[in-house]
Amino acid sequence: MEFLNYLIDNHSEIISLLIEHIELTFLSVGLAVLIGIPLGILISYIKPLGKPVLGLTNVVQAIPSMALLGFVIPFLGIGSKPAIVMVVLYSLLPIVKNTYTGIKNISPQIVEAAKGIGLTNWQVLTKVQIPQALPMIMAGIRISSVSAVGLMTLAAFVGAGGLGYLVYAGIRSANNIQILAGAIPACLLALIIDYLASLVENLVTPASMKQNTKKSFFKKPIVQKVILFLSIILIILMIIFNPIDTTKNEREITIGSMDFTEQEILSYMVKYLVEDNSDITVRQRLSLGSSSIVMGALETNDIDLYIDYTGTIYGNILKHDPNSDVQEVYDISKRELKEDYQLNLLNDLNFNNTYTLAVTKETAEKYNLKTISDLSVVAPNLIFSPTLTCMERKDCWVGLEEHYNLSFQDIIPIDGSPRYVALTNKESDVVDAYSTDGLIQKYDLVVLEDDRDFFLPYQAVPVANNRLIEEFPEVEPLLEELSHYLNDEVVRNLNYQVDENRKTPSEVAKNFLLENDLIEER
Amino acid sequence: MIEFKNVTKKYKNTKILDNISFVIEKNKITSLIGESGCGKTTTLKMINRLIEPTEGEILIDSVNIKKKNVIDLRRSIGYVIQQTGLFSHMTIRQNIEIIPRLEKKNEKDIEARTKEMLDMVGLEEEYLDRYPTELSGGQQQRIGIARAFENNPEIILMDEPFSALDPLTRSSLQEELLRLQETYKKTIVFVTHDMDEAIKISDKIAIMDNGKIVQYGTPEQILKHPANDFVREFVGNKRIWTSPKLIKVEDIMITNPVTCRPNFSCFYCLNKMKMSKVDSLMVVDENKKLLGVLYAEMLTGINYDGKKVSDFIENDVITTHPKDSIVDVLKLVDENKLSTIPVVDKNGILKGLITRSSLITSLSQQFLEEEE
Repeated sequence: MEFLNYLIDNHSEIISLLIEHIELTFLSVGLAVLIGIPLGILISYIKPLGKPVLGLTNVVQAIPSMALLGFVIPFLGIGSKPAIVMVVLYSLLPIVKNTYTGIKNISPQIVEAAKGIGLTNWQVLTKVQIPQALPMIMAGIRISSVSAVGLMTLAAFVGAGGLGYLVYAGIRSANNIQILAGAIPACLLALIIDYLASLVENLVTPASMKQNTKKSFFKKPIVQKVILFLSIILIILMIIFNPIDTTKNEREITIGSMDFTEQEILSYMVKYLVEDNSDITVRQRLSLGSSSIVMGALETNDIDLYIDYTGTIYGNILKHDPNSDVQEVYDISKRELKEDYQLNLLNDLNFNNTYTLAVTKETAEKYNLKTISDLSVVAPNLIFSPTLTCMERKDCWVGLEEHYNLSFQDIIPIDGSPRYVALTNKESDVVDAYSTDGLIQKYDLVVLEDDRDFFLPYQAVPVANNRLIEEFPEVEPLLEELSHYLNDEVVRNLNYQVDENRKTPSEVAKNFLLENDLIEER
Repeated sequence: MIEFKNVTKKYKNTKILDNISFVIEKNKITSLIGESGCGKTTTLKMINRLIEPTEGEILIDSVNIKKKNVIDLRRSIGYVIQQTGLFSHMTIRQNIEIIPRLEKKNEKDIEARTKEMLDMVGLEEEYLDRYPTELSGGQQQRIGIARAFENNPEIILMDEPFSALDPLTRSSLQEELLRLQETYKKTIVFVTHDMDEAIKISDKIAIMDNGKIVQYGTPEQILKHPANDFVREFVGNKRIWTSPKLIKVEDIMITNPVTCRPNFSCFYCLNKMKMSKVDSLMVVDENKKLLGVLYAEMLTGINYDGKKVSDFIENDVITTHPKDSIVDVLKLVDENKLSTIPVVDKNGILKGLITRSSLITSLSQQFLEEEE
């Protein structure tokens, strides 16, 4: 019931994400077909190329998709491009392999007969080899299309949208309904694409090569052709009326955000605030993953602005050793970003989303925990579940372990909100948390005090490229204004409204701005 | 006319064809026969340049085929191979019409031609929209032949076209081919490993072994005068009996029948019959032209003193020709209850004699030799 309500409330968002997903999938598979079939034909003609090409496509297939995605971002930036490139690379193998095998499997006598009766090489290829291999080629395209639908959910990580956005937003905020709202349409889409591809496969298989000859209404070629025709018209209409817009408007800025609730709320706040108080249009690239991806997007000018945290910039991007002096961290970050990256650190937003460690109330009471020093005493009895990012950072677990001489019974890294679930299920005892995380409030956790000043300050700061500073000077004062209304408590509450009260980041942001008269009701 | 001039084909160091030269005559069926690996298919595929010779040249009507555009050359030559030669993804119609359609010939002409071809190979029009796999092997091969004839080529190459078919179908297709050849008079080059097939359909046979043509001649020449032991063994001793039409009167006739002149005395002649142990004499003139036959029984019980052969001679004699086959002679013997048949050429000159006993001796040879 709750699920149905969610669908009804958010149907327009789901539909537009679905359409985006379809577009991306078709573009990718289309490109893979355009590259894969000629490549398959090429290696069937030029024998020495066969092994290396097939080997290479096999290797690509073996690379974890996230890694591949991360790998192409430095070259292609964010958005639909890297997502499409990733899916194309994955889709190549079945298409190349099936084209190659399909052509190789044609008896050499048939090819010789075709030559012998006077077909040119091109005609042998187009009139005999391709038609004979077509059922096999289509089978490859079918496999590629179905797996492309699944892979394309990763597109959300690089801000290309698609149904994956719902899935990851759902995982992040432990919202199963949202996960299903993304996953179920994706499954249905995969099934429909599989069915449509099977129709094409059936139509291109000559009667003589078909196995079953049963004739039902849906098996009639004319009916199949009509279904296919209508589907193709539908897809073309979708693409015409909902183009993937990559052109930048003159008076338009793009803001990026990382993949957690607070970032999304901030993104909407900036959008509404700027649009309401200027003539600038703001486009959003939500959920771009980690700080380094978003920073990368800013460097390539895919986005113009995003909100980062001083500690992350200082430790992660500028690779400085941990430093707990707030002002020094800010000053060094600002200077070095400008010098080394030509990026601009604006004034901070007046709240600090630092790392911290959290335990359940129960655990806190049982061991009488108030500070991290307290924790170090009982750590050997406890299981720690940090995020993957925390695990490998000097300013998080790597340094923390040494600073407090911590040694846990076991460490099970879990990303995102599932680690809170692990905590309440008692599969884990200690997690790292962000001090403004709404889930702390939701799960009623106790935040341990950093009594020996280990964690870096994580002041939220807007980072902008030169275009924003030079062409849109009105943005900076607006952000300055916004910062007066924010602090740790306020932000944690906003996060809580989304994570626990199941409001959308967009509505939470809007309500907050309205309540504080930062924008006007329209 | 297709002419091979000193053609050699090598793959690396292996010689597939070793300096072959021969002429394939126009409007005849020529078979290339031999064991697998002898080079017969290689020879065939050189004609439409699916294989290029390493040395030597091939001329069609005195033009080196290397000088022709390879696609035009192939389109001017029909090509039939084992049943796999049809394209399974195309209907029968598409298969037959593939080349004329690529050449963008007039639609109506193509359709008319296809109907004619289908009729020629004895298939109904309803087959046109079916796929090859829906047809029997024999029907598929008929379509293969129709496709080869569709573009009306001068030359048709057939690479073991019937070898995958069952014996009955094969036999009927062979006859079909002969019937077509009577009407269309194509230059057909036919590769086979089946000697019976080659003898049945060919005007000329080239027997190949180890990349060479070991004998090239008419079926009759090859059967009767094998060039060497290889051919003899390949052809087999008994082969001739599978095609009795090739056994000619001249092969089995008595070549020196006992003769007399019309002016000889009867007494002398009877005496000659007794001496030679025959019951008739062939009466000839000084040029050995047959005038009639003198039978011993004509003279029994009558007074023939002083009479000459010419008084008793039987003028109305049934004769046969040296090139007639044993089958014809057997028919004559059977129908006319004859015991002896003189053999004369077209000028009436006596060449020999067939008797019942010479027939029996010849016919029994095949069984007697087998028992040895």
